[in-house]
Amino acid sequence: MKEKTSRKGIKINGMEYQKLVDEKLVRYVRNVDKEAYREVIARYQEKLMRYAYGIVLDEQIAQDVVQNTLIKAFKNLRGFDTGRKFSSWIYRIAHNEAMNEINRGKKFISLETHNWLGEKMVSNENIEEEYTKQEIRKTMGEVFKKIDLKYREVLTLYYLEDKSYEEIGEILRMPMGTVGTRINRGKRLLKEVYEKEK
Amino acid sequence: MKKKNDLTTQVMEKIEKGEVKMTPKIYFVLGSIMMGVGLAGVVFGMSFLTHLILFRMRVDRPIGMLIAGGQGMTPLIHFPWLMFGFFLLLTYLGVLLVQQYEFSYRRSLWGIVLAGMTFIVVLGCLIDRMGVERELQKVPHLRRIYGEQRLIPSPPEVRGFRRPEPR
Repeated sequence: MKEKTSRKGIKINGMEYQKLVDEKLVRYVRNVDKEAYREVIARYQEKLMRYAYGIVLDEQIAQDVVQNTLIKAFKNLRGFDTGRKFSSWIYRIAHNEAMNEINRGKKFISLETHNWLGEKMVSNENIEEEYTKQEIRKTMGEVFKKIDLKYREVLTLYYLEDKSYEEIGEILRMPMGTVGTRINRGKRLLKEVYEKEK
Repeated sequence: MKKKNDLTTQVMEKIEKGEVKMTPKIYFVLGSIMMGVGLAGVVFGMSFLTHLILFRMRVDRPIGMLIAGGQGMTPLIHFPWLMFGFFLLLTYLGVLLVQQYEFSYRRSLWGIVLAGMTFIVVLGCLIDRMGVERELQKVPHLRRIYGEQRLIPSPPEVRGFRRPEPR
């Protein structure tokens, strides 16, 4: 009945998850087979890790955040309105989880070397199209930790996760104008810190 | 890569073992219904209260109880506060239930509060302008809320507007 192949071709009842958009996949998980949640994890694990890391700046804590996010999202999957954007929903959960961790005072200076923020830079194929973004991404990996949290989170979503102003507004629950202001101010701060570091 | 698989395995194991379960749909539906019914009750109650306050102000002024024979706002003591409290509680419980999963979409809290208050005041004024007190004062319990001493003409007549003649 159930056939599983490699990551590129996970099939259940002959259905290939990869072809489904997020919202349809969620409907499938809810109504047909929870096993398809693997695909949701595969799609979002790395993105959420990058985002959570951008907030908590610690790999271990970021992993906890992502795990809690994925578990919480699964628990509440029936409460998700499939007419909306799944990515905004799950990023919002991640945001709340990350903020909870920060509030719990778990945050400490990290010594680990894995460059979660710089990784996106390597995987992005549209370098020519997004030259400015790339430049900022390069800068980010090194000086990102010195930027205030409120700028860090919008910059992570905008530059690393390629979210639009509207989506960022939805995730962080703030008006688009504020998103724009924070991105611009964050960019300036990044440059200033970068210049100092040089 | 190993870390990726670890996380997938950990989460999927919890799901497969039943340690993590999807919350039933009814939970979300119930939360929404409770919040909806509660909010409707609260909005209606507040609008009615606005109308009553406007009515009492028109009749006796807010401190009318200081004037001989006046009742001021005292008849409002008969307002169904218990029922109103019940709707408030229902809203609160609904919000609690809904809040646990509705952590995602953008909501402007102040926008909602402002819109709600405006709606309540406008609805209260509308009810007041409609002159419903004439009919409602005929209902025994409601008569106490309005103040039993006399039947008061409805606002359009007070302000000199003529009501259309009944056919």
